[in-house]
Amino acid sequence: MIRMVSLRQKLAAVVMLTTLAALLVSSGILIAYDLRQYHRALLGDMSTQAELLGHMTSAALSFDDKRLAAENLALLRIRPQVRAGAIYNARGELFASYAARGELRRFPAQPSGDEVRTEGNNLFLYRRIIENGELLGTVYLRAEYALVSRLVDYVGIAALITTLAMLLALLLTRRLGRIVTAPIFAIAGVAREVVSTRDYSRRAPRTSTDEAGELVDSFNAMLTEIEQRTGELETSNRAIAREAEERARAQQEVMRLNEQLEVRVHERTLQLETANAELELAMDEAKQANQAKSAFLSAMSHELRTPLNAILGFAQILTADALPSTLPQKKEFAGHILKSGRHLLTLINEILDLAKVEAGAVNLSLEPVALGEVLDECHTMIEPIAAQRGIRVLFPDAGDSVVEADRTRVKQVLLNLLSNAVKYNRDGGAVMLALGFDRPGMVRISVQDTGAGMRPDQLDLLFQPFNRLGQENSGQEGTGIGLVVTRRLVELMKGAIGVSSQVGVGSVFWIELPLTEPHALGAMAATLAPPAPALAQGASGTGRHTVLYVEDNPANLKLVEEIVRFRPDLRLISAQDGHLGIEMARLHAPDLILMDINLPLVNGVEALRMLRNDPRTSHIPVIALTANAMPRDIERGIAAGFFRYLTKPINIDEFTEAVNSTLAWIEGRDAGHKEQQP
Amino acid sequence: MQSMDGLSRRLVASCLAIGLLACAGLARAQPPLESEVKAVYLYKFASFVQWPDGSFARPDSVLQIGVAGNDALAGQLARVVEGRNVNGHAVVIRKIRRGESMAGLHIVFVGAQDGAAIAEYLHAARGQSVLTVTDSGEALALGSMVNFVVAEQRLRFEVALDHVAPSRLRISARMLAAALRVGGTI
Repeated sequence: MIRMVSLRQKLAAVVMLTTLAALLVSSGILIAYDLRQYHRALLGDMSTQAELLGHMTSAALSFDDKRLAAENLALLRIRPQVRAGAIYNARGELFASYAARGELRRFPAQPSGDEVRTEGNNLFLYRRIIENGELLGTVYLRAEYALVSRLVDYVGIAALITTLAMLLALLLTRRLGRIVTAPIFAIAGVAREVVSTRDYSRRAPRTSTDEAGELVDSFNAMLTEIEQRTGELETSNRAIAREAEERARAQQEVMRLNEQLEVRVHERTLQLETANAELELAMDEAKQANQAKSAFLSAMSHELRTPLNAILGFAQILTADALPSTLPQKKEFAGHILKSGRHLLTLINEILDLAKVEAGAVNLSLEPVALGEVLDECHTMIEPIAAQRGIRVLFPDAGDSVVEADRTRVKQVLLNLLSNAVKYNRDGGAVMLALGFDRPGMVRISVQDTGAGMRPDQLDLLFQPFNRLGQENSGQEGTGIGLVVTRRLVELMKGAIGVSSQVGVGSVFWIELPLTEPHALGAMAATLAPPAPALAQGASGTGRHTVLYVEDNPANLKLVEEIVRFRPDLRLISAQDGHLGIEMARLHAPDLILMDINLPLVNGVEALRMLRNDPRTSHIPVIALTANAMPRDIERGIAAGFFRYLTKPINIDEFTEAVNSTLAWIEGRDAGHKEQQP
Repeated sequence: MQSMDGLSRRLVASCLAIGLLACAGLARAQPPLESEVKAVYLYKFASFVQWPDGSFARPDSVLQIGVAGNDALAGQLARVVEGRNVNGHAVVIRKIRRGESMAGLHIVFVGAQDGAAIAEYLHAARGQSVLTVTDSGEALALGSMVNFVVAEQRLRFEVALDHVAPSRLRISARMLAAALRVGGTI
């Protein structure tokens, strides 16, 4: 059921539905009645027709007169609804026939007994001709039975009538409905206005004397009552509202204060929780760091003891009279000591590096560094080592790429990766360095080797100290610290490091460093350019040079004496402390001073300053020869004015080169003085 | 020999007559003898003729058909009408000889071919309510009411209404419609 919004619509719907029902019932009954009448009339008509025809034709049948029978049948043309007719004789054979214009001459082969039957649009009728109790023949008639088309016509007419009647009913309802609805609408309108405006002084107009009029009266009376009550209510409401307002204000104030308090408590709680969580985290970290440190210390102790064992062991054999050894054996033992000593030195250097890196004590001076230069230097340094094992080293052209990094540390990092690539390569393999600029603002330097490669689980352990991934027992020396330091250094330079590897194919180690503009690079390069010593003149030097060695350790003094003994052009004098050293320098005016730093009374740096301040000794080049091997110490030493800075343990080749180059420099200087003086 | 011939003819005729009755006088595969068709027609005429009041003593009085000059046909007719009736009247066949009275007859068939004989019979029937049926070319001229003719190899009949009127008989229009020719006025 459709919901009607308006009374007028409801009224219209009631009228329309009533009209429709009445029309449907009346037209239905009329149609049914008419069709029944039609059927009966047709049937009666046709029966009469057949009876007549049979009677008329009995003579024709009796006297075998087909012509007469045909003539009788032909009279059917005055009844157009008879479409066809036929006479059959007593034996059921067709005797005469008739078909209306345009009808097919088709007749049943055998007549049936008296029968009436309808089939679609046709009515078939058979009537036997009986005279004197004797069957003479049968009349057959086929008539048009227009029941369906008649029904369709009637339904059409009924639909038309219904439509017209409904339209008329609608119009009448529209016109006449107002008589009923107008007063009710008037009340509804006033009620709506009263509700929307709250104006209870309005009244509905009384326009009729029927029930609607009574409704208007009651409604108006109700409005009057409401008006009075509303006035009273409003007065009391106003008073209550005033009171309530004051209360609400007070309550709001209380709530506001409460909320503030809650917020403050919440904030405090959060702060406390955060602090607690941080504390817990810090404690965890401290615990982990402590454990890591313990593990590292035990590993370090082991690593340090291993080469020391070789050194002390072979040294004991060499010094023990109870264990005589031949000269080749002695040389071999000394070789072992030398190798273990060197390893120990590397180990110590790297551990110290690592310690500094871990302690955050590394001072990096980030500056624009020309990548090309650094790569050239690394190439020069790594090539001889690689060549020993027949490994090809391929370097790309770096162009003019400039990275923001610490020059020394970049070189250290690259050398570490390159030396690893050579060290763990196969003989005759290749090391390939490549540059990539995939990430914006970064350059990726990758070092690819053709070594054995690593498994994924090995890669995880790669950056842990002292972990040599099973290379401990291989012929390759190593400390297992290099990569750890390298990684920390790269990270400190705001770069990244990574590795990918495939067993049997090789590994690729890569670092990424931030690129920068090549500003002020020229000036840096100029200052960094090492002084070119006139080595050529070193060899041509004649006459003996006096070398003063200030050293408090007799073993070290003995070692240098032994080295210098093979140099007939050198005369070595020595002093055991700083004071004595300065005195001897003033006294003997040596060509060259070798200075230890950690000296009793006056340390090496102080002594140097004093020598520089004294015009008698200020021109003498001083080479530091010290165990203070930290880069910071070296920087400080060079800054203090040492001509060269050699670290212990002494590398004899390095020592010789330093002495030679210094002497060459002296000769060059003296020659220059001579040329200027005359 | 003659009796044997008569028996066989009779048998055939009876069979044919029964067949004719069954099919209301329609032609069959073997055409019936002319006299047999005539016998059936004679019987059928009774249905289309109305006799004046008093012709039948009672409603179930017999209807008498007289046959003159053709005994064979009389026999055939007797078999045709056996067990049948016309409007409730049983049918009786009477053989008529020259000089016999026609009283009580309703239909009389004059089978004679001789003009004088025909005239004599017709004369005897004149003034009575008897339907006179003849089987000769000049019979109508002699005063016969209905005369058998053969047209298009079928047995037809002519009616002379002039001769019917005095006898107070009424012949149905349906029968007249089936007649080959109708002479005079009703």
